[in-house]
Amino acid sequence: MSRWLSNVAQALQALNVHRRRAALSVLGITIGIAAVMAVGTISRGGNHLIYRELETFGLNSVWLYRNWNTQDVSLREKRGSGIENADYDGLNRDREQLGIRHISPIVDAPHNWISKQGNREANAQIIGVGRDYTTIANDKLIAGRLFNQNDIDTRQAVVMLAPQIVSILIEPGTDPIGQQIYIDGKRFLVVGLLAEKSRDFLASIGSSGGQNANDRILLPYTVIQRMLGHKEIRNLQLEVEEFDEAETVAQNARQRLLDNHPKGFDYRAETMASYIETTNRILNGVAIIGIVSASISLLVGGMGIMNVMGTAVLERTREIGVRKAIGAREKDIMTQFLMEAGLISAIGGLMGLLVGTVASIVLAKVTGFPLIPSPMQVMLALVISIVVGLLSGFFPARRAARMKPVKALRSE
Amino acid sequence: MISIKGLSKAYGSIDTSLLIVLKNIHLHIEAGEFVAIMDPSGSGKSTLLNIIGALDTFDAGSYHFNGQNVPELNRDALAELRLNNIGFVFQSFNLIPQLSALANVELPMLYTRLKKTTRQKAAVKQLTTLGLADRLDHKPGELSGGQQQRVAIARALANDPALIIADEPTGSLDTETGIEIMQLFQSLNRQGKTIVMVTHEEDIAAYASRIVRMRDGKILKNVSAA
Ligand SMILES: Nc1ncnc2c1ncn2[C@@H]1O[C@H](COP(=O)(O)OP(=O)(O)OP(=O)(O)O)[C@@H](O)[C@H]1O
Ligand SMILES: [Mg+2]
Repeated sequence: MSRWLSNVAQALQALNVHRRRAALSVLGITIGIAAVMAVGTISRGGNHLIYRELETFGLNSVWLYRNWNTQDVSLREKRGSGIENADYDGLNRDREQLGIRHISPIVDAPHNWISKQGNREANAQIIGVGRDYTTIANDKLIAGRLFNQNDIDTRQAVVMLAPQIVSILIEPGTDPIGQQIYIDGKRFLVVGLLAEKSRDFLASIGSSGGQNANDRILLPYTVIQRMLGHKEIRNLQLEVEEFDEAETVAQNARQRLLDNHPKGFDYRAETMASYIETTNRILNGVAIIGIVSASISLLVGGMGIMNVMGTAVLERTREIGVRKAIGAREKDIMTQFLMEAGLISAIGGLMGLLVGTVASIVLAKVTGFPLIPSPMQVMLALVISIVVGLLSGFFPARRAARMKPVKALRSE
Repeated sequence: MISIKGLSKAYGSIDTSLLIVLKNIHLHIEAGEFVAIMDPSGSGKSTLLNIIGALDTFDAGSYHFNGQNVPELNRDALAELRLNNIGFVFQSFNLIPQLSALANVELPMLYTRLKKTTRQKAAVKQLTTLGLADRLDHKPGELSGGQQQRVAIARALANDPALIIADEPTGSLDTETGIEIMQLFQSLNRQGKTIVMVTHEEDIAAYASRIVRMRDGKILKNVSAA
């Protein structure tokens, strides 16, 4: 142990002689390690953020829509959503067989429907849903109750409100539950309050279609259908049993819809799984760019170390000869120069950790990504830097170790 | 202790001009001797000394050190031999510039894997004996020539070797300091160290117990000094 400390001390003294030269290599390693850290922070933070946001829409969600983007013009001329209550009933009945845990119809109210209480008015998204919608969409209840089957079947005039609507429609300081509001002139009873939903940059995907989930009013879909006088469903939202099976389940359900409408409608099935995959691909792309640039800095740092050590070995040929005359074995010389190379990169690595940590904190602030510390990554960064140092120090150190003692001694 | 028979060494290959620097050298040195090698011209003294010090190889003849056939030893064994049995003193001191006097003296003991406290104690003691107690933390550049040479001698003595090899140890020193170093050598010799020294100067050689004269790579005659 004390021998190692002495070796480290000697290496530090040797580096100190040419500290300006060593500093450049240290800088290269510092930048490389800092880049590794920053990339790690972005990809971990990004992944976590995306996962957390997608989670609020239900990780196992699948959406079924009519596909309007078909090339067949005769299909496009057909009117309507192409999904009816009978489709829903069929899928709902065969849930188990299809791998569906929950399914809910979604019926939109016309945009001109105004919600009112007293003289307060709101232009909310008024959405008709089934009993399990809140479960599928991962909506949390903060007060009151969810819809039950009876609300749906007997078309009860009940609503659940998202937080922004509560703040617009309901008189401050009063309990919204049990109050009455008016939608398109009809009276409804507030039975439940939904929790605030995350709506950062990912809120644009999924069923909310770019809209704010916090200004929704949920009604039983049967009630909207009654008010509109039809039995159409805008789209179906499913929760599959298995995340990994989402795509299969989605395609099977889509096939059901195609089979039910021989007259010809086309359908689109979207899964949360595929959204997650897409965002992960983007994040991985970012990470790869970062890793490549980090590797380049590390490579430059490594080459710098090789250069510094090569020069040091040349300049200190005499010293090597003296050490050999004194009785240093080849491995003693090897250790000495590897130690110096390793120290350059270890110092670079430590500074890189420092810079990288600061950069990570700043990045997390700027991007709004959560800052997730990773001891594994710190270890990895240090190991990488030391390995870079040892690798690039190896050849110069070996050249030093193998010098002929007399030749080295006679050099000047 | 040292037994050299029929030793020759040449530099250069057949293509270039061959330079024979040592020709059929016979040299026996007993433990406890203080031998000065003299040669007016520069023709092989350092080469011979380096061979004795197990630093250099040769082309013909044999060299035994304490009964060991030196050419048979591998590089690690040669290092061990130098480490434990031989202390080198050079004309240009050859201290390691970035290390303090103390660290320079500790160095051979670092290679023998002695513990820090042991090393330090021994190095301080050695330097104190040589009158450098107040120069422990000085770098070589901060010492006079005589002081540097004494640090170098302390370093040579660090692992308590039986043999001291000195190549013109007074060559860079003024006469007075040179005499001090020779007196030091004499006292080391009295304490039992075998010393082999190269010098140009008769006055310096006179401190030895035997003078070996060379010319053009050959030994002329062995003369015992007073
Ligand atoms: N590596 C080498 N290659 C070729 N020639 C060499 C080499 N080393 C030494 N010589 C030559 O060998 C001869 C003897 O050198 P050496 O250093 O042993 O002499 P020396 O007696 O110590 O000289 P000085 O009194 O100047 O110290 C010199 O002519 C020198 O030029
Ligand atoms: Mg010489």
